[in-house]
Amino acid sequence: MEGSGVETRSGCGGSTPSTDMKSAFMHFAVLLATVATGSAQESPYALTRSRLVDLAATTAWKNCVGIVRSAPVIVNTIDAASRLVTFTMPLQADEVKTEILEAKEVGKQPLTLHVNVWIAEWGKKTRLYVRAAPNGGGFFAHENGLVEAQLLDAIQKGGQWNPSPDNSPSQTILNIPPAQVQAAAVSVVAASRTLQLNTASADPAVVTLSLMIPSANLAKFVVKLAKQYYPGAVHLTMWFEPLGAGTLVRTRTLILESGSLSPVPLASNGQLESAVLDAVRKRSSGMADATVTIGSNYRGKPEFWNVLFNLDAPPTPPQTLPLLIADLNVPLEKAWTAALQTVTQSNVIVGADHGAGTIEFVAVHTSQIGNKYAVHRVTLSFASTESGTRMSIGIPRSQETAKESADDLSLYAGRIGTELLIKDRLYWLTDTKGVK
Amino acid sequence: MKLVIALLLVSSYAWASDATRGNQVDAVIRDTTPLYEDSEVCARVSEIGQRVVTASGNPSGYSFRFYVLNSPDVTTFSAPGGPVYITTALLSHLTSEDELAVILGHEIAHVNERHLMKIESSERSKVFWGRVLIVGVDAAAIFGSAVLQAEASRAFSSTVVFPGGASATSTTTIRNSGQLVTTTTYQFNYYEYRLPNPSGAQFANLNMGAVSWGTAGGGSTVLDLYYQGYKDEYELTADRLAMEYANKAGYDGSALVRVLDRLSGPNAEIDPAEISHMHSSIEKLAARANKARGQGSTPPRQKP
Repeated sequence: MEGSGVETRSGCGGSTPSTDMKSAFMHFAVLLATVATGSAQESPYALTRSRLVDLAATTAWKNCVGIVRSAPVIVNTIDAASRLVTFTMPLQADEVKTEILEAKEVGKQPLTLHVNVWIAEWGKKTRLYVRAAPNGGGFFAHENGLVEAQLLDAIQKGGQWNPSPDNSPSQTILNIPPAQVQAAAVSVVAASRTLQLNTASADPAVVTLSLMIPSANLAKFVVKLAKQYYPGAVHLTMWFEPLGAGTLVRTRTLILESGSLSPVPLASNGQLESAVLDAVRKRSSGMADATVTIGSNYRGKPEFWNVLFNLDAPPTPPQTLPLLIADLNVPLEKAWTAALQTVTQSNVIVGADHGAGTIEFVAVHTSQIGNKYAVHRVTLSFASTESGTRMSIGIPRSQETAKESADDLSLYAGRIGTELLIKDRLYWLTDTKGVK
Repeated sequence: MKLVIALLLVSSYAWASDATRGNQVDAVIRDTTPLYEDSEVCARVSEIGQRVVTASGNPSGYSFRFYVLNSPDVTTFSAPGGPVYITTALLSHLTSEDELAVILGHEIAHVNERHLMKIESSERSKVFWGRVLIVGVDAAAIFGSAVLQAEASRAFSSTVVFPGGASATSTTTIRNSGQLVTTTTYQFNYYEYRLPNPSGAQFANLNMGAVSWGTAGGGSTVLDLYYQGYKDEYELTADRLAMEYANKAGYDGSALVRVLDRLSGPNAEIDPAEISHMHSSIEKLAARANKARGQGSTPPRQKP
């Protein structure tokens, strides 16, 4: 060993080349152990997504709505008739560390979490189902089961989950009931050229809207913006709760820089919420021309978050709508349940309306198209017929190859058909009594 | 030096446990392929599976759990530590509990024998030793150890496919000076379901996602292992044990021959192309059937 290292360290006890080598080995060993130990990603949670409980489905749903209302999340869809709610929330770095299987690989890259909750009557019991899917914009990561377990517990016991510190902008609207204010909010969105309606539920009374804000204007609506390279995508959920004879409007906001592969959520300064609530208040009070003029009608590329919030531009030239129609020899209600059973488990649901018989979800897969992956919405429609139910599956903004679309359609049709029909072929398993 | 060796040994056990790896695989599968959750069917599959587990002795005390996947692929597979999956498509090709018992027994044998973990372990060791080299050079750079520098001073490159599907190609060039240069490029080559199938098998329809740990880029990953199937030795071992387990559990272990014949024989019920979903070929299944036939089967124990 040459150089000054020996002399420098001799003051600590007379190091020799031999001891120096030992020391190097010792440090090397410690480093090695650190690397190796860090490689083991222990996941203490076995994935539990569904739970059968002795709790009335109506009670579980009430608990669920309370939990979602108090959490810092954007509602993607809520359908009380199906007892289905789905929502999106940003994940903080510490949450990524404790909840995501790929935390080490993800590092500090921001993720959003997409949760489907479905509560259904299951024989004499109630089935709670929760699926949480983290997304990094370009890929889906995997939740380790913690969030799902916490949500299932909270729904079952009626507690809270991840409650939001209630410093979000809110507004009291006197003497007008929630349903009326909610209707006013829907009409504001419909009349405002820049706003996109994503959720509209009368009971519970909720509206989620989205809009794009040009990069030059983004700083007006966020607390602090260091750079302004991208336009912002704003998603605003408004909850309308009864307050005496009037309504309390609570807001939840998610602002992301659109165009960035992994946009960091930006903190709202409340300006945008105020503008929207102002228009809602005016509409509620009879000013039929109140609108919101913030933002632009620019629509982005078919990337995950744009598609999720309906902010993606339609393909040019317009594509033929890939459509599959299947007549199912079962009642509509059974087909509806089978569809939810398959879709809630493997896709991010963005729309469900039991009354209209429609379900909408986001599908993502590798593709032969330019981006090497395709992101699009898939719509399921159900209508009663004389022989049972007609199911239609469509891909309204398909930007994939014809074969990929056909594969998509047959995949979902096959899953729903299997859910409905496979049991007849398993008589050898279910007709016997008990295990041999 | 002894400490280094001891730490190396300890470190080699620091890889994810079977249960952890099983949970990871489970998360990927469950995110991409829905479960068929008919309570009657699932209860029966689970009852039969647990009965076979008991007959197997469950030497490692794994928490076996049985899932029915809603999938058109005719296949069954398991993950380390206990998750066992069978598809609705395969279930629909079975005709008796004996057949189901021996099919589940085959997967239980893979888990008990730690076949996937054994293969993964050998694959991961390449990455591990790669990291040893990196750390070695790092240590050498820090402590100026000429010996370590000499040991580790060479170019090393690895591609790691992460379990979320984000594929990071990490090319590490180590220079004689001990300077470490690392560039990482993320290739977002994975989405919610349906992957390009690296081996040409049809397993992609099962939407396995990127169940991938260890090396890739020409090397094997756990996902590749699913695609490629186990080596023949492991398959035959699992067949033999499955028949034993089934017999001990009171089922007819020779049902394995009937299932394999049905899938691969001259009157096969399914398209030969679908055999690839079983990470196999029609020839391999036929060979397994013949081997199982040759082994015969001990008469089942008296049924309880």
